[in-house]
Amino acid sequence: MWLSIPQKEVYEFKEVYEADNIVDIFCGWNSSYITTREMILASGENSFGALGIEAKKVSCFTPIMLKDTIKISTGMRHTLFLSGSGQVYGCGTTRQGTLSLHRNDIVWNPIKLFDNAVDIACGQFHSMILTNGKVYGFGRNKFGQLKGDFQFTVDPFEIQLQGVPKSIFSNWSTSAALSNKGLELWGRNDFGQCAGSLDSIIDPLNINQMQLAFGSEHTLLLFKDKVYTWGWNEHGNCGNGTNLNIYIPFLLPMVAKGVCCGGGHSILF
Amino acid sequence: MTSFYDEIEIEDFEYNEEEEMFYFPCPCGDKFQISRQDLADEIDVATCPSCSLIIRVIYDVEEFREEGETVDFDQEAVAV
Repeated sequence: MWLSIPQKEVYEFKEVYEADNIVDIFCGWNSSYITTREMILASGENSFGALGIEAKKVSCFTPIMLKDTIKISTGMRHTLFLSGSGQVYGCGTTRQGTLSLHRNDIVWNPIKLFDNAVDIACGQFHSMILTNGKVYGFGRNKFGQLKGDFQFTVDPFEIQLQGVPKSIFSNWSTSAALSNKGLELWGRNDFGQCAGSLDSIIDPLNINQMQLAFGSEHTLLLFKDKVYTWGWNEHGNCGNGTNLNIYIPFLLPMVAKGVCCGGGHSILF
Repeated sequence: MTSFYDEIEIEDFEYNEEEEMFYFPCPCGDKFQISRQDLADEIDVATCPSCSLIIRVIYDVEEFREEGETVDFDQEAVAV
């Protein structure tokens, strides 16, 4: 059932939706999603259509009629939706090719972009899809986040990797793939986002025991119960007790079962 | 040397007409900001109130000059 949502800031957890068919929840830059088998419920900021609803202001959880969504990945002003059958839908700004559409406007209601995808990842102004063992990227490439020789691309660009990718991830301008060769990171690296060498940490045979969380410019890696962190750390968001950027992965002195990142903060549990 | 986090075109900023301020998201969660007056004064660095990060604004200063500031070449020619 629907529960009323206050129109101003909420400083404590409130129940917003009550149902027994909730599958998962996802959060974007300034948006929240609840998925059920039949639809998505979305709430948040929508000036650029990134929410997936045809309205500038959205003040309560509003249905998006996409079935069986298993993953939602949000850019700054665009969003991709992946269904259990491999379909990728997108919405938001099309600027710089973020949705691989040859137009410069806003897609308000999600439209189908690709089939046969197994994973999706959105950065600030770029996107990637994993399909048939290959990673394709489109959108901004100013920092090499698509490994291309261009500022941006509208047409999907095949990103060459060392291994066979299983899943893909993205900071704002740094991209990553987990493959049978381990974790590969490329793109923006001025704050240590690409982590230097991970060879001593990652055993490619054990990538299934690995969990990753990407903030806007920092990353947390959980391997078994060990947590490594690197990247932009101005707000202490890497959790190592300093506010200095981390260029070589730092092993935190505690164990964890899970890792999560916001833009400039992190959570272990 | 000043190091910019990024260079962003003015059309990618969001404008608040009441405040006469332009905003663009910062990775920390706050927003880079710069006033219309700053842009008219040829200041092109947007700052974040919560961060050390700064961005350079790509824009055409001629579009931000106050009325009356622009030199009207036709009138000058008549005055001569």
